[in-house]
Amino acid sequence: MNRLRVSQGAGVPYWRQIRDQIADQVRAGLLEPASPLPSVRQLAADLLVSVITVKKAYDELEGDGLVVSHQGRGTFVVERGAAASRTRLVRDVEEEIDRAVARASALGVSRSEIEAATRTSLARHYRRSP
Amino acid sequence: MKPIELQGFTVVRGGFTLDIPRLEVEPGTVVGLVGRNGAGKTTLLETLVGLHAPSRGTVRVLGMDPIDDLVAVRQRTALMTDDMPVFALTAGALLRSLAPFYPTWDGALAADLLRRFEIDPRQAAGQMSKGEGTRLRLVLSLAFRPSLLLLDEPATGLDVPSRRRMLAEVLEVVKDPQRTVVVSSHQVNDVERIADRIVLLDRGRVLADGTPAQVCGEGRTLEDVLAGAAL
Repeated sequence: MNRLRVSQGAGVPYWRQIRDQIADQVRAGLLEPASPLPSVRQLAADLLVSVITVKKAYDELEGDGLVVSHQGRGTFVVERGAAASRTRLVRDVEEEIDRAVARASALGVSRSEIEAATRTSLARHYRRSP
Repeated sequence: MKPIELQGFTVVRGGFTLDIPRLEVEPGTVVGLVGRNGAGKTTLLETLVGLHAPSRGTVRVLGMDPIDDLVAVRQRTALMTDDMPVFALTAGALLRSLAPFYPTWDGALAADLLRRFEIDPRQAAGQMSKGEGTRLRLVLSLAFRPSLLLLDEPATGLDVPSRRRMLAEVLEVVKDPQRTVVVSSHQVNDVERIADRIVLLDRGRVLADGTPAQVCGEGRTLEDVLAGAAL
């Protein structure tokens, strides 16, 4: 990662300065896909800003789909831009659905009950039938 | 275990009462303690190291009672004040005389800190300028790797590079998510910059407590808040 700079006089909150600079580096390819960002506490110490400020910047970047954070392992640039993160998102959802179905099956819930439950859930969260 | 827990807490000193119904601090945070002179900042910090007995309520520091467990608390808690006496020793001798009191004293770190804060260990502590004295007290407070670092006006007399060094050392401490810092300073821009949480005291009461964003609100700085709370 190229060196970040934050300034107080800019009138822009520190977290936004950090988010914008990292986002620019990701979009420009200066930060390699899947490469780790510095830990929150390390970057806070480097930039002389609070831990909560860096956390906020990382949260925003994650919300924008530019980075992902893994509990205990740190924060990483997404693998290949937003498309990769969407693919992974869909895959995560598939896995989650599969786990739920497997559990229902193990507990003896019938196929038609699961289908009904799925239809109810889809109707609740999607406007038109998919 | 929380580094600081106050419950139904009142301390009375002469005509002044500090009253904090509840205050809990999470490990790994930097708490900025702000307020005008006489708000109770120093009294609070001193109470945390057992210098004042609460007249009501409980105080827990690192899970211990600062009066009953005075030694254990002070071996893991640094209180750096503005006027800590530093005696007529050289800086190096002062460090050597204090080291044995702290099981976690780190001699290599102390030597490093002297260098980073540009203190000559041969210099007489009693003859230091205001800024040098502040830097030496910072070295003393950091060298035993306290679990809880309490800083009362740690920027007194510091020039800009030394102030940045001080801020960097504070953030170095909380790189360890088990260590905690409470900093009271009139340099509110600095406090706002490094604090995860702001506790605003006024005449012995907590006027506001939250993240800097919560305490300041959109587009306002801590300086604006303090000026606005011109009480």
